[in-house]
Amino acid sequence: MQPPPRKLDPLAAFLTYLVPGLGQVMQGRIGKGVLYFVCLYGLFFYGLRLGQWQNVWLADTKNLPEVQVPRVGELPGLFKDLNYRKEFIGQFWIGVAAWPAVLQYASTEPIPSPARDDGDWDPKPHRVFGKYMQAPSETHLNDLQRDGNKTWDLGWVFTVIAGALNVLVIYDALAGPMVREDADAAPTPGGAK
Amino acid sequence: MNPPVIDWTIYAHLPFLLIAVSLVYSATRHDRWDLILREAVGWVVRFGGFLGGLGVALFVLSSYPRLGPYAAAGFAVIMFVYFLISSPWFRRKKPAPVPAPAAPAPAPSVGAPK
Repeated sequence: MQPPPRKLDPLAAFLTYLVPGLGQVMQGRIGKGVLYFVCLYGLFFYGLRLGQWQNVWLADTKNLPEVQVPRVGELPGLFKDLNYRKEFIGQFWIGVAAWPAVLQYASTEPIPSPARDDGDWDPKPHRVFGKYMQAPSETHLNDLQRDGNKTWDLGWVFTVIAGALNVLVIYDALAGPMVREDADAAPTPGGAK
Repeated sequence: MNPPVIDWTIYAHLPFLLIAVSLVYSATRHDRWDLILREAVGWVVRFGGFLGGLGVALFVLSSYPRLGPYAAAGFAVIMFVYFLISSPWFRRKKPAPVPAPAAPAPAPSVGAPK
């Protein structure tokens, strides 16, 4: 017999977006919530540390060359910025932990055009977050990648994976686990009893 | 002095990634802890086997370049068999229940409009 459809829980999904595992804790699945929180924040901040706390950002690319996409044309505003920093599309989904990058994006001046960048561009620190999750200059980025031992690159991979996994965790909060173990399960989100 | 191009210590970070990803992915598939842990162990073995196999193959290829074609062929066969055996996509599935035969359509009555 087909089990009854599950009730969706958008509030828990939103809470899980904010902080991984928070929605599951609200649903009474405390162990799973703690597991998600420890694993995903562990991955994200471990990746940030590997990247010397400078691999999560989104920059205003107004002055950089336009981006042309076949059949779409010129990318406007935010889409152009995301195209210059595609990693942030994954990192964003970790939730509140990535919001400093959004605040920095909104408050930091645009990156200068390559023709006018003499290597001395140094944006003003944010009054709360300082340089944390602020777009680095091209010169500083080159230094990080050239002088390090590749852990900077490994670091952003960790942060992107953490964000992408949180999308699955959000689904788990919204509609429960993918596999329904019990056909007679109560139609509560996640099978919480 | 420039640092070496490949620093082997970066691979020390991978086990944490492997375990965390396996645990989280498995937890999104099940609610029962025994099933979560069983599936997580399975993913650790599969991921670890795949990455470890790649590492061994690349080590052999770089250490013994003359063995390259044989090592590549052997590695491809081993990986193919390994995934054939371990992947759930290739496990035998229960045959779908045969649907009951549909009742025959009633014969059109005489004089029915066409």
